[in-house]
Formats: sequence, structure tokens, C-alpha cells
Amino acid sequence: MTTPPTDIELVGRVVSGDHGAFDTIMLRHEDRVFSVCLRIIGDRDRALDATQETFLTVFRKAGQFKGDSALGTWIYRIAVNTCYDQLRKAKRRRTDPIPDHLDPVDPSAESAIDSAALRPEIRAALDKLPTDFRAAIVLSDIEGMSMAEVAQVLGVPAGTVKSRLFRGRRLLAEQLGAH
Amino acid sequence: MHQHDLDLIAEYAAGTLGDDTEARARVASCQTCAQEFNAQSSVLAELSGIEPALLTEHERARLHRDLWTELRSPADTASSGLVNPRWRSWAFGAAALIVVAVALVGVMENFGGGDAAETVGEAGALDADSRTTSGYARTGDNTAEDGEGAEEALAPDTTTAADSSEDTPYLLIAREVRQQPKSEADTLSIDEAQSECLEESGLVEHELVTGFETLTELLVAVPIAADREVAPVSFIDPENCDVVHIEE
Repeated sequence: MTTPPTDIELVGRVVSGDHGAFDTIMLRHEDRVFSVCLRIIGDRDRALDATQETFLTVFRKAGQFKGDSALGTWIYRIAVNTCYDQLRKAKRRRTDPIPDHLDPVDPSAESAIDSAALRPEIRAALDKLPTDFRAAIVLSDIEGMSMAEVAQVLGVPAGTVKSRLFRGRRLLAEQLGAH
Repeated sequence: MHQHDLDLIAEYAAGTLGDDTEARARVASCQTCAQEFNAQSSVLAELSGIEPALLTEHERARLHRDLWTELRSPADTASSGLVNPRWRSWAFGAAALIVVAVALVGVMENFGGGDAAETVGEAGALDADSRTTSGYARTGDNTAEDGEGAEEALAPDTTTAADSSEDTPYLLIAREVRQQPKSEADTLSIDEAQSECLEESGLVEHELVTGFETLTELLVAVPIAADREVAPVSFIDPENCDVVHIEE
């Protein structure tokens, strides 16, 4: 039985033009990337766009991955930055997002969507958080990443992550307490 | 409150303290500490119960379709995408070799070398006509050195199952379809909507196949008249009758 390829081996194959390797990377990480994007952005369609954009960047910049971190960490960092871009663009457009607990395009998957949907109060409270705090909360408290991994993904020291988590949770508590 | 206390309370609420004796004492004796602890704990309890959000199969198919459409766009193939910049010089060299080979063929034909011409053609020909919606360049394995690296970025994907260590859902289903002899295939008697969908997709003279555990929201179609072992397998989104993927 062959051992599965390591992150570096997979990325090396992608750089060499092996699209099966890229499909493997996508299959391993697309759900979690989508989950992170959805929790940060709050809209399924835009989260899907951000997921696509993330993997486009992964493909185009595969040669820059040096293995200093886990491949997943590198991918989630790209995802978070992509989400930041999306949120900035959305602010400029000032459109109202489709809530993440509704998907009018794919009603047949309603049960799958609902089981993972955030309560509207939580969604609203998250949307009010500064994006830095929101990303830290999503990665740590919702996606279950360790402090060290969150720090790597966000590219900040662990102490900064701690501070963002503490202040983010406090703001969330105030918002949720107000309901 | 001293900053150190806030860190302690936050870690106590998150359950990451090795020894929580001091934290418990502070929460018990300090009202502000207790309020902070309750706020942090309630938020953590609320968020930790949230299930991960998963892509629906429809979203997954759309993601893959849109992604590969983007990667196959001319702007992307010209930049860092499908043709590795390191191989451009190889591609030019290979193209020059092909030109020389074609010229040689012409010369040899004039002197009765038809068989040799065919051999050279096989070694160097570009297959520009076999582009499909699933096709993209396989520029791996130093194929440029063999004279094949000059293939365009949108050359057909001729990957077999043995080439990938982990196959895509499309490939797995196509393999399953091809392993079924026609008489044993789990074919659908299609309803009017599906028939119209096949027509809209340009897939008349196709039959639908079912019985797969993945991509269940897509229609899977194969040409009726073709040899099932080599027939392209098409995946159709029944919502809009778009062909989202073809597995050659």
C-alpha cells in the first residue's frame, strides 16, 4: 500500500502540471475553506466565490509554497485574505447579502444547509465584529483551530490572537446579551 | 483590572489552563472577573456547538466547473497557470523540432518515405481537434523533451485512472460506468424533463445512468451508440441543463 503524498510532494506535482494532484488538494481542503469563508462572509454565494478565488490563488502561487507551514495553514491564510477582499468590495458595493441560512439557488440541499446554519442572532453579531476579530473567532471558536495555527493563518503573534479572541468574544457577548 | 487577570480569565473560560486554581479563586472572589468569565464562556459554548458548513453537491460541482473554466481562460494560460514558465523554452525548442520534422517528412515523401512520415507524425503531432470541456494541458513528466511539450494549454486531458493517486468523483463515476456492460447498466427510463435537458445540453442519442453514491444531484449521460469502455461521460446540472463536466 502506497503512503499518501506529503504536502510538499503534492504541491511539487501541481507546479509540474499534475492536475490530479491539484484535485487532491481541493478535495482535501475545499469543505473547510468554504466553511471558513462562509462564517467570515456570511453569504453562501459570496463564500463560494471566495472559495473559488482561494483555489485559483493556490494554483497560481503553488510555486511559492515552501513547506514552512502545513499546506492547509497556507491555504487558509489565502482564504482569510480573500475573504477580507470580498468584505471590502462588498462594503463598497453596499449590497445586502443573502443570509447564510438560506439558499434559494439550491433548495434541494436545504436540510444540509440548515443543519450548519448560524442562528440569525449569532450571524448578526458576527457581522458587527471588526473583520480581524471575526476571523480569529471563526478560526478558533467555530472551526476549532489551535491558537498556534490561528496565529500562523493570520500571520500575527499568538498574543495578538489571544487579545482578538478575548475582545471579540466580549463584543459578541454584548451583542447576544442585547437580544 | 490588571491585564494579567483578563488573560487568566480568558484561558480559564477556554479550558486551556493547566492549573485553574488561581482562576477559579478570582472568579469566585471578583464580580468583574466572574462577569468576564460568564461572557467568555457563554460565547464559547454557543460557538463550539456549531457544525461545520459543507458544500452541497451542486455547489461543489459549480466550484469545480467555474474554477477550471477560469484556469483555462487565455489570460490564465498566458500567465502562471497551465503552462509552467520554466517549460516555455522547451516548448519553443520542441516546436522548432516539429517544424524540422515536418520538413523532413516532405523531403522523404518525395523520395518514397511514406512510413517514416507517419512515424514522425505520430511523434510530433499536436492534437488540436480533441479539445473538450474537461481538457487541460498535462505538462508534467518533462514531455517537452519528447517533443510533446509544445502542446497547447488546452490539449485534451488523456489521464487514465492510473495517473492520479486520488481520483475526482467524476473520474470514479466514469470508471464505474465504463466497467458496466451495457446490458447490466443501471439505466434510467427518462422522463420528459430529463429528455428536454439532454436535448438542451446537446446530448441527444445519450442515455442516463444512475446508481452512484456521489454527485447524486447531477445527471450522468453516455452516448447510446458508442463503445461504453471509451465513451465520454457527461455530467449535467438538471437545474439549468448545463454540462458541468465531461470525463473523456
